[in-house]
Amino acid sequence: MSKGLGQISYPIRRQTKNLNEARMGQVILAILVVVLIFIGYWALNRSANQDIEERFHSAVGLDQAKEHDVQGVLSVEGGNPTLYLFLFIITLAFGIAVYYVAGRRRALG
Amino acid sequence: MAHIHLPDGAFTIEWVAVWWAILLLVLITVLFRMRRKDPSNLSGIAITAMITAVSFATFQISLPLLGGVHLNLTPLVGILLGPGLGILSVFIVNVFSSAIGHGGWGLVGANSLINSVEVSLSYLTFRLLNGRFGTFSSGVGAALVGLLAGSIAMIVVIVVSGIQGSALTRSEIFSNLILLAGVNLFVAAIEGTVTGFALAYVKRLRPDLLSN
Repeated sequence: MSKGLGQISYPIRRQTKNLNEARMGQVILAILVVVLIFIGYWALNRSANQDIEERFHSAVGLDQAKEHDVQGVLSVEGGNPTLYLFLFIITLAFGIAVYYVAGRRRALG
Repeated sequence: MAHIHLPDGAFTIEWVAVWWAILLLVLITVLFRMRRKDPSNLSGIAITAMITAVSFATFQISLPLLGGVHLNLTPLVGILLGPGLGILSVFIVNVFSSAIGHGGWGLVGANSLINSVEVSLSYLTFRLLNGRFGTFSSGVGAALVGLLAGSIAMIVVIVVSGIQGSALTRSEIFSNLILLAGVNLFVAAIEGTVTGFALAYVKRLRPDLLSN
C-alpha cells in the first residue's frame, strides 16, 4: 500500500509528540517556578525582615547575637522584598528570552 | 541551599555524634563502591575538584535577596558528578565552610547529609526527566525536587535532634521551620533556574559530562 501525501510517517509523528511533551514540561515548570516564587514571597512577608542567620535563630527559638557579622565573602545588604521579586522576575524573563532566541538562532543557522 | 545556620552547641553532643556517624557510614560506603567500580578515575577526580571549588565559592557569596541568601549548587554538583562523587564534594564544601565560620563544626555531619539528599535526588530526577524533556527543563525540575527534599530533610534533622537552650517546643520549631522552608522555595526557584542554564551551557560545550 502506498503512502498518501496527507499521511504523517511514524518518525515525524513521534518527533512531534516528543516536541509537545517537551513544551508541556516547560510550561509546567514555568508555572511551578512562579508558584514557588509567590509561596516564598508570602512566607517572607509572614516572617520578619531578617537575614538568614537571624531568621534561623528566631525560628528555632535562639534569639542570640549573630555568629559573625560578615555574611559571606561578598556581603551586600538590602531590604525591599517587593523590589527583589520584580527584579528576579524581570531577570528570569530576560534570561529565558535570551536563551530562547539563542536556541532559535542555533537551530536556524 | 538547605543548610543549618546554627552555631556549635545548638545540637546536643549525642545528636552531633549520631549525624556524624551516619555521614561516616555513607562516606565509607561511597568510597568502597567507587574503589570497586573504577579505582583510577582520574578525570572524575579532576572534575570533582573543580566543581567542588565552584560550589564552595558560590556557597560563600551572599546574594542581596530576602535579607541575604546563598546558593549551594548542590543539584548541579549531583547532576554533573553523580551521587558518589557528589556526596564527597558536598562533604568537603561543608568542612571548608565550617573552617571559615559558615556553620558549626558539629553540624558538618547533619549539613552534609542534608546536602547529600539534595545531590542524590537531583541526580535521579535529572536522569528520569532528561530523556523526555529538554536539558534546561530537566535541570530546573531536578533542582527543584532535590532542594525541596533537602528542605524537608533539614526540618526533620532539626526537629528530631531538638535545639539546646531553645524556649520553643518541638511543634513550634516545626511550624517556624515550615515558614523558613517557604522562604527557601524562593531561593530554590533561583537555584533551579541557575542549574538549568548551567546544564544547557555544559551540554553545548561538554556533552560528555552529562552522558556519563
